[in-house]
Amino acid sequence: MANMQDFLVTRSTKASQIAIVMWVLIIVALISMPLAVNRGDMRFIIEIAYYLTLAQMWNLLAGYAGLVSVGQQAFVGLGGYLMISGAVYFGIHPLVAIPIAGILIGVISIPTAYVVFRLRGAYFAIGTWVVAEVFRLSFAQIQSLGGGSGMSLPASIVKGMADGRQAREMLIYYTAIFILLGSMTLVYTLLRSKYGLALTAIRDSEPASDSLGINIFKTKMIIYVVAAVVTGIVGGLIFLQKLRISPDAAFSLPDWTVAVIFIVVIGGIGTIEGPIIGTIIYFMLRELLADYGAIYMIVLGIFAVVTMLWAPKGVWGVISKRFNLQLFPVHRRLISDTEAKK
Amino acid sequence: MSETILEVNSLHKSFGSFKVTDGIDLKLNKGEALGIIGPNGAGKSTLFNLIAGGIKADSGNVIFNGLDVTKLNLFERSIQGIGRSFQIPSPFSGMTVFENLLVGAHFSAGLSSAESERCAVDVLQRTGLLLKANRPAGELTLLERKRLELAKALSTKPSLLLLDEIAGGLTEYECHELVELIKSLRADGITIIWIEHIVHALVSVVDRLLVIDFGVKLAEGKPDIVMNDPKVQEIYMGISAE
Repeated sequence: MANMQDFLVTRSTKASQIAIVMWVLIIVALISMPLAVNRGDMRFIIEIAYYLTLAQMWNLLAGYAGLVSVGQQAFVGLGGYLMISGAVYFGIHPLVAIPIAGILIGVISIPTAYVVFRLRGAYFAIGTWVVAEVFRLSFAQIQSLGGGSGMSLPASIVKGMADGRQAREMLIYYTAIFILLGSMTLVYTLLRSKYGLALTAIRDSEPASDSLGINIFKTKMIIYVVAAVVTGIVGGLIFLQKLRISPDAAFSLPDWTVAVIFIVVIGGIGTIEGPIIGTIIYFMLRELLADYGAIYMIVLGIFAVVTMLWAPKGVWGVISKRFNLQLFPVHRRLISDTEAKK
Repeated sequence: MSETILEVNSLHKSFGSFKVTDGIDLKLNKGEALGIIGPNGAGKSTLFNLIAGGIKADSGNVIFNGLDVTKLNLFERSIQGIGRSFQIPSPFSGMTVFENLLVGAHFSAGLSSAESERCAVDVLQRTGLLLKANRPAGELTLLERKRLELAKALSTKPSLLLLDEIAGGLTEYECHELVELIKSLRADGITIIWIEHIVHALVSVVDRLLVIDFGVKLAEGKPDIVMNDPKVQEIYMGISAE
């Protein structure tokens, strides 16, 4: 009989080793980008960065934990409002206010979870949406935050962030890149850990996970809170870039949740690669169809329906199956010692 | 040697007005193997779920290793040492076979990473799945899925193993292999409760047979005596001989 000494557990594959080089190049490119591109392009990259981060979070929720939320805009909006309130009323530097907002949102998300977790499936989805609407309507009542028409970040605070416009935009750019890379690292590390095993198990079969000792409620709760915190941080970043907030923009379902669901579903739900591919497709379609108005939404809709019908695992699902590819090695493979020495 | 591992006291469960489990008592010693038979809809799987924790009893209690587990959830009972297989295999289809086994080893048996890997390799060898270790579980054949179902339950290092119609759909030879495997688990001291329609496989392993119908105990005792009981022959064999 063979012993464990005869086996090794590995995760890397040839493709994933090549992918590491690719990731390093992309990270270097993102960091050096401000040297090469103009302000408009930088804003565009910031937007891609926050959409990709939102998509990774929604994917964790819906793709792994089975929590199909259509109310993530609640946390985007809260992040924006808490960042601006912190800066305006407490004199905190906006970049410091963002992580503080993240922590507060984590705290707020726990009682919210206890409410929405009582609901299942479609009812859960509706419940999260209702919660987001409650936040939107509540913030519209707060006169000190501009009520229904919202407020702007005062020029003094904006100017106080950094010396000059260029330095400020650079600061926001690197914050966006930091948040993106941080959240990608978080998702990757999480999925490689034993919690990733639990999450993937829950994704594939809840009854079987339950019978193998996984505390499903606790696991889902952790994911819900993590997603809320990161989504809130992104919200803070979005409105720091926009410099203006209103309840309708902050708690917008189409902007912060529908677009994100589109990205994850066409890219490939339940994989790390999926949201990346989805973000690329989403922005390509958006740029391509920017001049066609309403047709843009129709094309997006058709694209989503076609993907769901013919490739339920998204574009990445098709690619990874066809070429047996994995760009983020999260799976463990058992190889024999002799095989490993080769 | 005759230490009690499981005690079920007047367990009741109704779905609406339909009594699925109607006052069942059961006592099982450590290392014993109990077979449960009964017609479809007799309440076998419900009894199973009541023991494993998938369904909560209306009244009565379940004592496992001296601990009242009646109020515990499925995952908590799994951690306590009750392992189960599902009648319809439910593999984690997006994970490899190896990873499927790491789940129970990590979360139910509470092993460290290195120990879980060793445990998974052991179980792979025992269940003949070693060559399939890196296959996505969704690509397995029916026989392999059935084996994985058993392997997953074993990865939790159970002291009580509940097997739900694990031999269904297997060929004679495959069934024989499975019986040998289950016998070897018994030899390791794992207590077994096995629900099965393939009676000859069942009686070759178990010490005791329990027949249930309409949620009540119809007969209980040594397999040969129970199978010759006129009540059992009428209800059970009458149906199986159709």
